[in-house]
Amino acid sequence: MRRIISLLFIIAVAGLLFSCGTENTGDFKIRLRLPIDNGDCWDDYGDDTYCINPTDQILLTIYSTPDLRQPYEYTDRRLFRVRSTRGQEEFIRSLRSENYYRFFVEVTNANEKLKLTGGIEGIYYDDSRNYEVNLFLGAVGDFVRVVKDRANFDATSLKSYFEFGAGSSGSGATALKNGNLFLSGGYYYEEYMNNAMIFDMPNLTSKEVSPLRVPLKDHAVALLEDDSSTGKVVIAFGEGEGGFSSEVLIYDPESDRYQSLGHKEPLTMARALTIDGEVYIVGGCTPTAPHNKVYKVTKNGELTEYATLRQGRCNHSVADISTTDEEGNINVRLLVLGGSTDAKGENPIANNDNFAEIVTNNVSNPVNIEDRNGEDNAELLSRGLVSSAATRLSWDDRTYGPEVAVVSVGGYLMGGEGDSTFLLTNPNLFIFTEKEGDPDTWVYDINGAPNRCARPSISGIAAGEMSISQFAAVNCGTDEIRRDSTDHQIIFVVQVRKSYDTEYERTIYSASVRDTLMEENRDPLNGVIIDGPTTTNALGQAFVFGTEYVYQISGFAVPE
Amino acid sequence: MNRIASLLIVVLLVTFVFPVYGDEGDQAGGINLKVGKSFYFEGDIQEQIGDDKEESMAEIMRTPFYRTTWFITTVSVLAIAGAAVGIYFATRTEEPEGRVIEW
Repeated sequence: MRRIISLLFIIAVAGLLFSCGTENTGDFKIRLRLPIDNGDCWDDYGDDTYCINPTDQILLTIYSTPDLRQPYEYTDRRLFRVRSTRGQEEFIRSLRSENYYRFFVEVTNANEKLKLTGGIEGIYYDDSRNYEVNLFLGAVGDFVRVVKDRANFDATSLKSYFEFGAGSSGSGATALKNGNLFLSGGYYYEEYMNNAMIFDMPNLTSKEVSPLRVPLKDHAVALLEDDSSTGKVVIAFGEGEGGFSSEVLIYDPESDRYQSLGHKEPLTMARALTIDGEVYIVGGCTPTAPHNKVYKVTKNGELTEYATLRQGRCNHSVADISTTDEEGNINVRLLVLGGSTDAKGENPIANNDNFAEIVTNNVSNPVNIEDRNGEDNAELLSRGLVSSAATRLSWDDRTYGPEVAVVSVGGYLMGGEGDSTFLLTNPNLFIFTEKEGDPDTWVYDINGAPNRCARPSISGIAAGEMSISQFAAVNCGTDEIRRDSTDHQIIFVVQVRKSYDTEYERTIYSASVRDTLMEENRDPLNGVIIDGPTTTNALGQAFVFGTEYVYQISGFAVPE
Repeated sequence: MNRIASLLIVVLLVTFVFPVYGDEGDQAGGINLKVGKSFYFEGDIQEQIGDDKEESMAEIMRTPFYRTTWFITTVSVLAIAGAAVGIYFATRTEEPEGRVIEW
C-alpha cells in the first residue's frame, strides 16, 4: 500500500514539474541592438560611439492599444541608469494580454544629450507565449546601417534583394502599419526586377515575398491604412520590359497576395503619398505625353479619379500640405511642384504659370510661387525643377509663423540660354511656405546645398517637442543626372530652422545639411547608394534603401 | 522561476518520498522482528543461536524515533537542502525574468 502511495506521489511530483515547465509563459524580452562600430561595446578595443555606456540613461516608453484601428495610448515609462555596457532590467510588472504594443527607446549620455533612439510597434502580446524582440537603436539625426549584431555585421546586416553594387534604383518602398518595411521592383543595369521583400523589424530579418506580377521600376508605392494590422500597399504603374504598366495593384502583406484595382493609362514616374490613410496617385507620363489625373485609392480599396491637374507632369514632387480643423477633420491638400513633360525628364515644366498647383476638394488650383522679395530669384518658374524630392515639415510651436513648410531638395533644372540649354543639377535647398494672408501664393527661402542630388528621395523624421528645427532624411544618390552613375552616392539629413527676424519683422526659414559621423556621408563599408527610396514609419524613423543594405535615420521623439 | 520551483520540488521529494521508503524499511524490520521472535525461539531451540541476537533486536525495539536512521537522514537532507536554498538566494545575482529590456 505504501509503495502505491509513494508511486502516486512521484507521479504527482512529476506532473508538478511538467506543469511548472509549461506554465512559465508571458515573458517578454526587448533586446536593444546597436549600430556598427569597431568591435564589441564591452571589449577594451572597441569604439564606444554607438555603445550604451556607464553613465548613460535609457528611457523606455510603452504605448498600447487593444485594437489597431484605435491609436496607441501611452501606457508607462521607465528610466534606467546604466552601470555597465551590458545589462538587463525589468521594465514593467505585467503587460495586458491580447493588446498591441509599441516601444520607443531613447538613450542619452552623461550630459543628457540624446544620442540613440529606436522603436518597434505592432507587437501583439498574448500571455500564453514568450517573446523576444529586437529593437534597433539608430543614431539621432544621422544614418547608420541596420544590423542585428554589430560584432558580426557582415552576416547580420539587414539586406535587400539587390546584389552588391546594384543599388536600389527605381524601386519603391513604404513602412507598413506594424512597422515592418516593404520594398519592391527596381532595376539592375538593364534588367527590370519583380522582387518584393518584407523587412521584419522586430526580428531584424528580411524575406522575399510573392514577386510583382511583372518586373517594374519607377512605380508609385504608398501605404493604404485599412483595418488590418499591417495595412496594404498600393503599387501603381511603372516601367517594365513590355513598356509602361497601366495597372494599379494592392499588395496584402498578411495573405502575401496581389489584387488588381483596375487599369488606367500606361504610366511611369507617377508619385503616390498617403493622407489620412488613403492613397493619392499624382500625374505620371505615358510613352508620349504627360498625364494630368490624380487618382485616389480609398480605405476599402476602391480606385477613383480624384482631380485633374492643370498641367500634366511626371518626375515632379508632391507634398502633403493638408490642414486639420478643430474637430480633427482633415482637409486634404497636395502641393505639386515642377516636373517634366516627358518620362526621361529632359523637358522641364518651365512655362511660368504651371510650375506649381494645389490639389484640394477634387480640384487643382493654380498657385503663385515667389521668393521673399516677391520675385523669382532662383528662376524656378522659367527654368523648372525636375526630379527634386519634397516633403512636409510641421512645427508644433506656432509662435513665429506657419506650422507647415515644404522642403525641396535636389533635382535639376534647365541651364543656359536660347539654343545652348543644358540640364544642371539644382544647387539649392528650397523651403516653401504659404504667404501670410494670401493662400494662393507660396513663397520660398533659398539656402545653398553642400551636396547636389540629381534624383533624391526624401522623408521626414520626428523632431522633439516644441523644437525650432525640423528634419528630413535624404537619399541623395549622385549629382550626375544619368541614372547609371555610381559615383559619390551619399545620404544626409537636412535641417530646417524656423526663426523670427526682428529687423525685417518676419519669420525666416534656413535649411542646412547636418554633420554626420559617416565620412563623406557614405557607408564606409559599402559606399554605393543609387537613387533608392526613403520611407518613414509611424515612430518618426526614416529608412533609406541603398546598395544591398538598409539604413536608419532615427528621429528625436515619437511624433504626436 | 523554473529553477526555484525545481529546487523546492527536489526538497519536497527528498523530504517526503525518501522518508516513506525509509519508514517502510524500518517497519518491515519490525515485522521481521515479530516473525523473528518466534523464529528466534524456534531457532534458539533447534540451532542454539546465541543470546547476543536477542539483545540486539530488543535494543532496536527500544530505540526512540529521533535516534532512528530514517529520522536522522531526513533531518540531515532537510538541513542540507535548506542550506542550499539559503545559499542560492543569498548569493544569486539579480537576473530579472518576466518583462525585461536587455542591452
